[in-house]
Amino acid sequence: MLDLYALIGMAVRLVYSMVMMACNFLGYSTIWAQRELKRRELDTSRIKTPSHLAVLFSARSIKQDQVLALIKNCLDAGVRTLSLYDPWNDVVALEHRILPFCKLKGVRLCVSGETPTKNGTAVDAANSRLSVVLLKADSGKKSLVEVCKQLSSSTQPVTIPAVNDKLTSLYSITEPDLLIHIGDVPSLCGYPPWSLRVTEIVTVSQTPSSKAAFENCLETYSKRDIRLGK
Amino acid sequence: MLDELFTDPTEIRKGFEWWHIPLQKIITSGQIPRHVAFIMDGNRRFARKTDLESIQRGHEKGCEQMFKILGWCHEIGIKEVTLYSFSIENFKRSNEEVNGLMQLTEKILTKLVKQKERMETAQIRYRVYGNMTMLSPNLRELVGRLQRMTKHYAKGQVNFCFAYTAQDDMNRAFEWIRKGVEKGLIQKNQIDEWLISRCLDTAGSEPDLLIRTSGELRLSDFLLWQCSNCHVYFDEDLWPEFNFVNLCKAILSYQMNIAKIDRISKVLICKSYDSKMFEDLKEFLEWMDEEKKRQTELIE
Repeated sequence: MLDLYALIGMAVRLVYSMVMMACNFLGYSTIWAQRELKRRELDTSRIKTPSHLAVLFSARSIKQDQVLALIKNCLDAGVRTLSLYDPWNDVVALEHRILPFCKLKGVRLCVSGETPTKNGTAVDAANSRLSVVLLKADSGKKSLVEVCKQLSSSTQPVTIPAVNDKLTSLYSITEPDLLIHIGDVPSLCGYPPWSLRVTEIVTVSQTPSSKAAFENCLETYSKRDIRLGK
Repeated sequence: MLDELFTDPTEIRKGFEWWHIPLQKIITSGQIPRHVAFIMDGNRRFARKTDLESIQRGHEKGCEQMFKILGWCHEIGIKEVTLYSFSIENFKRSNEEVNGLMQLTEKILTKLVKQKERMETAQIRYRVYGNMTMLSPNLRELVGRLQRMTKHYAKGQVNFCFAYTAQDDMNRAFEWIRKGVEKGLIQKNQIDEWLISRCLDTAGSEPDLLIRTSGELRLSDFLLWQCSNCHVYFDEDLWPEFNFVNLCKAILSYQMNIAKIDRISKVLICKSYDSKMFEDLKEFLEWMDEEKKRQTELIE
């Protein structure tokens, strides 16, 4: 007895191949599509991923889903550290709402100046794929005041590596490769100043939560001529 | 080339085009930034773009433009200008280029020092910020002479950042504070934002507007503390091409955005200066200022 399902399968494959033949005849070719995909892959391979990405929100419209999308984009792109800052502590206020997502994805979440255990993040730095640092409004000049106070008790002269070490250990503040500035305020809004030494700045009007918008930012960064004084 | 330079910003009307005047009037009808800082980038690209015979010629063109811009700033009513002339990182460039830049700086400083009468008329104070220990004794001597000669002038101020990076500036400020604590001149609880600002090269003066030319979008380790919430303006044109219109556009952008930036400044409240604080720290500040002067050979 002839299998009815096998017949249907054959018919589907036949219709599919006829449609594809018609498409090829009309100019829409899967070969073209494959080539286009390959070209896009090549473009993506030219995109340089920053090891540390910082995001500065200069407007008060920070949404939880946008922050989660940013974290996901960073995970997909292979970013190792994501620092989020705004001068109103709005990002810090989202900590408990983004924590479950971070735990699920194996992302280490910490608030600058607080120990990770305090906010209940189980993932440690060594085991995490991504570290997300929520920078408080007072992470800027005030953190440097604190570092200065601590270093002033030492008998050794203050050095740049010593300041870097203190900022990292006390506030999880390190130097980002790329700063995405969101909003229309043309200022760094008090972002921790010490760490913006040679950071590239990309300004966008809205949070790059979609994959395409995020890739656009990385593409812009990849095209930059980074000379480091030379 | 150097003879053509404007060494006196008050003489800039000589370089004014007829259409500068109405544009200037429009700009000065709004709020003018008191202090403007420039990252003068693009001299080398300008030399390549315009087929100049050497990179050095590009730097000379940039230098000519710098004096024009200083004059325009003076005419518009900007009281203080800080220029990023040479970064500590720039020592990594070829010996030929570094030596060329040092010679150019020496020529400019010598010319400024020699024009005592013109400087007296202009009443512009000149300061050089940066790590003086990295400069040659000859350059330090010239810096010292220029600063001594103009220290009482008050019509405007021009600061050159030479052998400068912001992290080095902050590091030196922290070191002054550490020494102050060690000497018993400061208590740890007296360390705050105001004290750190006062110990930086800029001694508390912070730019309202930072302009970077040549389309690069980074701060290149320049005045990081001082510009943490000022208006940052990036211009596509190379430094030798930065003209009066570019300057007006930057100031217009400042005027359009100052309210937004002020709102953020209010959120980032910094402990303000009070006279009692100054009295308590007077001994330390006097000691530090004397030591700084000694380092730049200001003491005769």
